[in-house]
Amino acid sequence: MQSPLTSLSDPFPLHRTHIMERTHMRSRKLRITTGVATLGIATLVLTSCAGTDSSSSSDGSFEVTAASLEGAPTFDPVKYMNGAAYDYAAAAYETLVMYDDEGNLLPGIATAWEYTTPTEMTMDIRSDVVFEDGSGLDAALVAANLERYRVTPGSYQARLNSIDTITVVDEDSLALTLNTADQSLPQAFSLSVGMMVSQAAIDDPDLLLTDTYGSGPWVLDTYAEDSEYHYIRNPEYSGPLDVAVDELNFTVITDLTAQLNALLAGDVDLISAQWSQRETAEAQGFAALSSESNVGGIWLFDRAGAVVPALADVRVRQAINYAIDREAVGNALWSEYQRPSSSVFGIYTTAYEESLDDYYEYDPEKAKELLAEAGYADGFDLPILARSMFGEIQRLEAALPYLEAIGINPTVEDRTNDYFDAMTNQEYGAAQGQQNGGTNSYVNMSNMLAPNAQLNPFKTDDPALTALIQDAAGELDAEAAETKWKAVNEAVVEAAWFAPVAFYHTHTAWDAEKLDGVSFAAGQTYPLPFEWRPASE
Amino acid sequence: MTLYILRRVGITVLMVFIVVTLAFFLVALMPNDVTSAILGPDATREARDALREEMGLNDPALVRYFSFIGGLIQGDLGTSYVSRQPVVTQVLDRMPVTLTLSIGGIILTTVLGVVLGVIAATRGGWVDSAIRGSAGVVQAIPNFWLAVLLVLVFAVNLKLLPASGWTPLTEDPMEFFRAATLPLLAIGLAATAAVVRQARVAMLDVQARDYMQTLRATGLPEWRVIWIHGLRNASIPVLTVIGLQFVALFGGAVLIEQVFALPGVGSLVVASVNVGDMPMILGVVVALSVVILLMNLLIDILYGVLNPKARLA
Repeated sequence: MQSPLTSLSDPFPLHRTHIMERTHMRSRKLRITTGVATLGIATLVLTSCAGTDSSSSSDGSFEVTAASLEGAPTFDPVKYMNGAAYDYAAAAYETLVMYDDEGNLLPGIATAWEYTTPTEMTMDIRSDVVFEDGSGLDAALVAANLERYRVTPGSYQARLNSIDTITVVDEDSLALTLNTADQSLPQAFSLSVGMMVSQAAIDDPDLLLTDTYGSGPWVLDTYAEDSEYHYIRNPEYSGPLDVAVDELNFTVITDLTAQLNALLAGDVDLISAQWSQRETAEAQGFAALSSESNVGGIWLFDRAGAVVPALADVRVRQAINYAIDREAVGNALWSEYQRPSSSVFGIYTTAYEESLDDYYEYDPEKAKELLAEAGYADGFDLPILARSMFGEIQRLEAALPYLEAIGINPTVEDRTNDYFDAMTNQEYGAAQGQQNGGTNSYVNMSNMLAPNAQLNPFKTDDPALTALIQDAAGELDAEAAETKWKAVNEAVVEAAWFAPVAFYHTHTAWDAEKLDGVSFAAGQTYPLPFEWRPASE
Repeated sequence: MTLYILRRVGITVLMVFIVVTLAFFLVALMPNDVTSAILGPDATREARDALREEMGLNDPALVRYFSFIGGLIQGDLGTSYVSRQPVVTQVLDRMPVTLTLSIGGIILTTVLGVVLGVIAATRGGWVDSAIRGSAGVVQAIPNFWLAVLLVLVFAVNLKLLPASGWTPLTEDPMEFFRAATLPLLAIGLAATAAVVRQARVAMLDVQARDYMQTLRATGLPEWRVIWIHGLRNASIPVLTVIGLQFVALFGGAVLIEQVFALPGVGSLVVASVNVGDMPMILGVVVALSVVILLMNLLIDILYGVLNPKARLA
């Protein structure tokens, strides 16, 4: 046998090699055995721990888990607006007024309301409202809630600007005096500014940062911020809704693809989706639904030509409208889930007029003629304010070739982080935008047409249009008001203040084997949970 | 050794300060429209201006900087513009998820990478080729793409594991491991390839050294020669790669959190950037900087333990 010290050039002496070979064979067998056993055990463990049905808990109660694109930054209704997070508030708070899938207003906490004059409104409220902290509601508390919404910065604060004074008539009724005719208040009261919080939250609004103080169908039970929110049925609820969900969960999944995967994997029962994901879910056997929500297009703000002189001429603005092939762009962006339109008033508003949808039919030759008549046969430069959210820049870029085809030179100015500042600073004559189609003509007018409207940064004030608006806003007869609002719509379209492309849909998909009753309330971009019920019912 | 550690700690504190200062002014220079996020798109110009004034957004950047540093020294990272909750609370609530991903990922990376690298170096032949080839393929795959693939296979099609969500370990250990498996695989596998390569090269180098032959000649079992003595010397360069991978894993955690809808600081900072919530952005930057620099400090200390020569540097 060689000495180990003399075998440095041969690290594996023969005898050691033999021993090692036997050891190696035993080790190899052991490794294979161990590997197979581990794989088997792992498979058993994993499959035995498959997720439970997310729509029912072990005690037989009906539990639903919905995916949400965002968490709840607070539980104060003042911060909420129509969107993915709205359900966090809608689940826990009753509103003064409710509305159905067609946008018809229904009694909520308010049992009746009436405009006695264009600037005076009365409202009666239910006397059986009980908040989750055990306290009750009277007209004085309703007034306190409305006063808080008037002075607290929030998403719909501006909706209450027309309220001058709130008078408590008696325990169950109050009167509102307005500083201008505003028929949209009942509709406003169906949103977050109509959500009533208890006296404790009025006294200390900071309580709403971490908990709900409502009287709605559900109560916030537990939550992990920006992750999961768990609501349970409110036993004190006395409102008109007949909810079937006992436990309502929201799981925050900020990516739509991840939401789709979660639905397909059975982690959640309902998701938001874009049209492509909706179709994927349907192909996998899930149910889907969509509703017309927003209108997208190019807003032509500079009607006086301060920044883009060409836009001062209505023929130029009309030319832009004639230049865009709305059908082609709409199909490219939203497939069949869109409605081309020359108007910015949605189908749920009284101002909607079907004949105005194709007022500006695609006609590039006519567009060129109008430009030539206006003295812009060679076109002009048109910087367009834009932001890269929700795919908006991609939508804008789909329309730009049509403007280039008639000689206009459009450029995209991405100001995502200060989009609204750039707009209100009048830095651009036009902007890419999207706007909710709305359910109330007065609201659309306030947001888009009024001289102080957010989407009227150059404060354009057309006396003829203003007169039409005032006439419509002050009309108490519903039928007459509808006719007048349609006239407003027609005037705006003729003046080409905007170049909308199409009203497009928001989508939802859900597991129809577990869940039924899914629908979109008018103008909502996320289904409300009030009608959700087991699929077996 | 003590002096070595103290030196490293001092450098870490200085680097945190530099990173935070840079981040502050970068964020301060960013056009910010947080008032629109808070008030909604229908808010009037007057309402947004009033809110901006109330929030101190019109104050000079330098004034806000010193206010921020003053708070930072006292452990106060300010209040979120959007939620009006203390930033510290929200960051600390979410940090465990990101840390679990990163630390779990680095453990997976280290164990898998070192084991496979050593096996590749010692076995040679087709085993070495197979391991190197696999490492190359996995390294070429972006971790977020790998994440999506894992979701499609194991969650959507096989329904073995969840596609999203997170359960704290203390709440339900079994659900925790189910929820963490795919994210950890996604985040750890891609980094494993780099460690495999480095471990293999380092072990090949160590294998060729005379002392390894001496150890064998003294009669030590082969596994001790390789896994105890050889690995200790091969681990020094591997440790450096692991340290670099940890930083990369932290960045990867942001994407992984989006894919799996995990409530970590990655998804928190993405949401904050989208709305311009400056205190939250800075809070996350501070937290991540501290963690990464502490990790580097730990690696430096380990390096000093493994290689006494390094303490003299």
